[in-house]
Formats: sequence, C-alpha cells, structure tokens
Amino acid sequence: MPVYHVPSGPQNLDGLFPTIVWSNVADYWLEILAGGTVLATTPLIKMGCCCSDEDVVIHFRNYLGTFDQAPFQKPTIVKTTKSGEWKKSLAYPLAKQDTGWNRFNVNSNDTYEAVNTCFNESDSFWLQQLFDTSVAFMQWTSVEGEGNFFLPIVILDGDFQKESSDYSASSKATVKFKLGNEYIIQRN
Amino acid sequence: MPITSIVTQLNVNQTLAAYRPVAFVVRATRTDGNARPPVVYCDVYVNGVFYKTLARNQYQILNATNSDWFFDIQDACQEVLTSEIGTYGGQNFITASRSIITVFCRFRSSGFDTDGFILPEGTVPQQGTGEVSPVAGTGTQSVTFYVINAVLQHESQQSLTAHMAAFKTGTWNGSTHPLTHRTGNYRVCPQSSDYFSILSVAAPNCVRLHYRLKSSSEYTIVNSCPGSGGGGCTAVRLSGTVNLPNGNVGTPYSYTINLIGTPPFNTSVSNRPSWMNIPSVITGNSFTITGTPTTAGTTIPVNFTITNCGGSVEINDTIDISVTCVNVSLSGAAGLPDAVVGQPYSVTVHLNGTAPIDKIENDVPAWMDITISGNDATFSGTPPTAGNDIPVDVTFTNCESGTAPFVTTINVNQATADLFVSWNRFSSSFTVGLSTPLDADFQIILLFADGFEESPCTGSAISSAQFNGVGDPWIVQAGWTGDSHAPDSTTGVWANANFSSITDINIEGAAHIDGDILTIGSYQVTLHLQQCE
Repeated sequence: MPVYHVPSGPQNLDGLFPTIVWSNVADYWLEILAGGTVLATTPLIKMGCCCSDEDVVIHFRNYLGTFDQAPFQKPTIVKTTKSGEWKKSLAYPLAKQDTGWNRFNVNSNDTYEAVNTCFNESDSFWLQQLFDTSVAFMQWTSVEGEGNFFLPIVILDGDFQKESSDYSASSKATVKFKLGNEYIIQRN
Repeated sequence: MPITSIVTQLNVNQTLAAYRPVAFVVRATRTDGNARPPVVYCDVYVNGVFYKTLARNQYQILNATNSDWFFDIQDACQEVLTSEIGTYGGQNFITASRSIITVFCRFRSSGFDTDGFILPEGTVPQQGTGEVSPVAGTGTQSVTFYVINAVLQHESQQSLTAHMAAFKTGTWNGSTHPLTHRTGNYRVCPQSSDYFSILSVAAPNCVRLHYRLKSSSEYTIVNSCPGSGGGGCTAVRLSGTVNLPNGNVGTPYSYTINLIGTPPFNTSVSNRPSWMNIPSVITGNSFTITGTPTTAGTTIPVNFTITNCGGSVEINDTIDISVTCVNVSLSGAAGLPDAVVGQPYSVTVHLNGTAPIDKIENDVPAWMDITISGNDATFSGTPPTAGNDIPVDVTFTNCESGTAPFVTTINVNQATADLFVSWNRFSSSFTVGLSTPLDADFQIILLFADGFEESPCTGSAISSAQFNGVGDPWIVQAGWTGDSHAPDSTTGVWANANFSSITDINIEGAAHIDGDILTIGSYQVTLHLQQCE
C-alpha cells in the first residue's frame, strides 16, 4: 500500500490546467481519481493570505510523515554573525595594509520571523505541527535563473499560542526559523 | 518447535505509525525443550529483505514449560523510514516509497552446543552489503504489516487508520486515507507548490479540480485526464441541494433534480420504495422522480448514484409517506347531459380526492340511481316522462369533512322518430312505419288533408294499409270532407276505404306517449290511384 503525493498546489496544477488564472481563483478542492473512481477528496483550499512576492511559504513535515505548507507575511530577516579573533605579530618593515587582529571561525546565518493572521484556533492542531517539525523548507524563488526550489530551514524554538481565553482576540501565528545552511565564509 | 507461538502480534496488512510500539510477544522453549532459551531472536524483514535482528536474553514471563519474550521493533522501522518532499511545482503523482515499509518478523529460539556456546536455531539471516546480497533466514514468521513514518499523539485515536479517517472530507475510497490533518481553512497562494498525500491501495492517476473564481459563486470542474472526464466532459454534480419531499399515499409524487455536467447520465439505484420511478438513463440535465405512494412509512431510504463520463454523485436521502385524506372535489363543473324518455340513461362523473367517497341525495329524480365506484359516480336510470330543468342535487362526501356539492338540472326529452310511408302502386297499398322503435305506448293517426274527395267508385281505391310499428293497436284515420275511415283496430288493415279523384294525400303521424301527443312527422305522399271506370 504505497504513499502517494498528489499535486495540489497552484504551481503544480498550473501545468495540468494551463488555462486557469490562479490569481483569480477564490478557492478550490480536488477529487483524486483512479480510473475514474474517486479515491480521495481534499478539504477546501482557500487562495489568498500572505501571497505577495515578498511573503514566504513554509513547508513542514507533519505528524503523519508528509508535507504541508503555510504562507506567512513578509518576514523580518536578521543576519547573525559570530566569530573568533586571533592576533598575529606584524612583519618588518611595517606595511599599511598589514593587520594584527584577524577574524576566524565566522558563522553567519539569517534568522527569519514571519507572521500569519489568517489561521484561527480551529487550525491550531494542524498548525502546531509547523512548530514541532524537525524537517522544514521554504519556497525559494530563484533570481539567478536556476529555477525555484525548496530551501531547507530550521524552525526555532518558541511559543505558539494555540488558543486564547480572550474570545475577542484575533489569532496570530509567528514563526521563527533560520536557514538550514549557514553562509559559507572563507577560512584562509 | 522452539517457538511455540506468536502470542501477540499485529493484524494482517495493518498499518502502524512508526513512532508507537510495534510489538510482539512470542512463546518459546530452548531447542532442547527447556522452558528458557538463552536468547530469542527477532529477525526484521523490511520490504521482504532481511534488515536487522533484535536479540533478547531476558524473558518477559517464565511459564512452566516455556517462556514469553517481548519485542518492539519500532526503532528498526524508524531507521528505515524517511519523508520525501516532492519537487517544486511538480505535476506528477509521486510514489513515496521510503515513507512506508512492508514488515514481517521471523522469530528464532536458541540452545547450547556441546561446548556451552549459544547456538541459534535455524538459519541465521545475513544483511546485504554493496557486494553481497542479503540472505534470508528461517524462523516462525509473523503476519505482514505496514509501517509509515508517522507519529500518533497520546490524545489521538491510537488506531492509525481510524485516526486518519477522522480527517476525511468529501468522498473517499474505503482503502484510501489522508496523510495530513489539513482543515477547511488551508491556505495557499498562486506561487505555492503543494502536494496532498494519501495512503492508497489504488494508484491515483487523475485529479478533478473544482475551482471558483473570485467573481463567481459557481464552481467549475475540470479533469486532468481527458479520457476520464476532461476534454469536454464535465463531471456530474448536483445543481443545488437535493432534498426529497415527503409524500402521501394515493397522491402522485414528483420531484425534479437538476444536474450539471455532460449528459448522458446513468443511475444506479440501491434503495427506493417500489412505487418510485427513477429513470435509468438521463439524456438531459434534469430528471423527475415520479410515482404514487401505495403504503405509508417513515424514514424510507432512497439511495442512488448518478454517473457520467467524468464521475459520479450520490444521492442519499429518506422520505416519509403518510396517509392523508384529500377532500373530495369535482373534476369539473356540475352538469348532466339531456335524457330521453324511455331510453336508458348512464353518465359517469369523475371525482377527485381520497376514496371511499359517499353521497347524500338531496333532490334526485325518482328514476335516477347514483352509484359510486372508487372515484367515479354514475347517474343512471330510464326516464319515464319528459321534462325540463329537473333538479339533481347530490352532495359527495369523504374523509372527515370533505364535501363536494353536485347541483344541476337535467332535461328529459320526448323520444323522436321519423315516420316513413311507402306506397305500392301495384297492390294499391301503402305502409306506414317508424324509423326508430318507440318503447312507449303510442298511436299513429293518419289525417288526410281536407279537399280530397272520395271516389264514387267502390273498391277501386286503397284497399288496405298496414302499419309496421310496435306497441298497442293503433288507429289510422283518414279524412276528407269530414269522412273518417279507420282500419281494423287490431290488424291495422285499412280495408275497403273508398277514395275517388285523389291525387295527393297528406299523411301526418303522431306518437301518443302517456296521453301527450307529439307530432313526429308530416309526409306528403302522392298516390297514383287507379281511376274508376
């Protein structure tokens, strides 16, 4: 009994249904067929919420071992760099460009913080899997012509308010993550 | 057999989460029959190939003649499993072969050799390497089952399939399960790549997309496989909500269902009452369920499936059929056609409403009978006398308070018939008859117009006249210049009437019915009488 991944996102369906302008679609759902027989039906999939080019889409492994995705608003990205220092003596004759202090073991990475306000408390059991996951990616739109891909990320520890005692409170999910691969810095 | 039995194991083809116990308890004896083997082995086979062995040297329960040994192989399953994300924007259906494994175990016991070393039972399996293929071992084999790379939280349903079933929405095949907890508020963007993952016996090959534009409230359906619903075939779906109405016994039932999709449609009925008609083939985009309920009942199931080139839609509903008395009413205005005296009369009037129907005769002619059979009332009888505007006032009743007044009048006309007169010039006789026999008593009177003169000749004129009518003896009178000649009142023979110089004779006939004289004809007969010599 295999596990099947059925294309269901607009980017996946665009090639199957090339006449559809997805930016005009309000919502949709799919029936998954085998020889004309309905095998499965997806829940309603809503279009919109955090869909600008600057927003970010995170894919995360869920409790059942497959991947779901959730869009978030334009993230705040903070670069954090840590390194060590060492000092060497200056050679004779002294030269203007010579340095005594040097930097080594430079670790540089970006930390993202993004918010989504489209989910509500009834989504919390599903959305908490994003905060619990050990495997996650974000969609990366290439600007160098190599095509789009999934960029591995690491979800950072934090709190996720699943429910509020304040009935009037609006739901807000904030996720923090860093890139799965830090920036590579020359060591010589 | 050192492995006596597998006391606890899984069900055949059961699907488990890898991060919950995948447990076995086996009952074993040492190879020499001792109750406690030094080691019991659990050889784990993944996808039919030996993967690793779990060995235990501590029993769980020591019985009198054997011992029970516990194994949990979830770690081994977790080591093998992984998760796979599809390619960005991929359009293919991906088989995630590393997200699920087929597993069985073979259990072996052990003993001691002559040197006191532990000697495993049977053939020891060997793991494969890059150069050497794995070698299967022997042992008592468990059932085969599936493990997926999933976790089940403590608060969740601990049956994985039941847990997954709780997250199904819409139509699902029984052997297909969702591998996600997505809600109806799942959000995507035009730039989103995404896959919907399922666990399925059957391999999917198409998707049918139902999408709604922002400017519309209607969903458009398209199919990714032209041969199974795409390419001009719109899958069937209901236009609006189907809610079968309840009905009443004896009252025609009718309900129209409108469909969206490419016709023709076929129906497959699994449940319906026997009186209900559901067309097997629907050529248009609507059809009507018809019939007349015959028996009452509640929660009567109506289940049928409508299919077309692109898919199917199920209709599952129940109806109640009750016995409701429909008050009697006339199917038209009250009225009866004219009757004829002496002729049988029978007119049937249809009544609406629930039978039985009764009647109250308020004012009805004595000769008229009214009988009711089902929803038909018959007015019958033979009117003996004529009359106009004779009242007929009947009230039909049914149910508890249903009434339908039938108030009208009827005309009873006299019977009519034509007289005919034939003249036989050779026998010098004429015959008078009626075109239609009259059942009532009557007389015929022949009156000769004034001005005719009797012939002086004797015995040279009309010798006889015969009337071929029915009824009582009749009288024929012929008169001119005041004379009266009557035929025999019994035989009707008009004998020895002497006429002279008669060239024309006017014969008038009249029927006497119950004392009333009705002129029913006037005939001019030319008599060519022989002249007297």
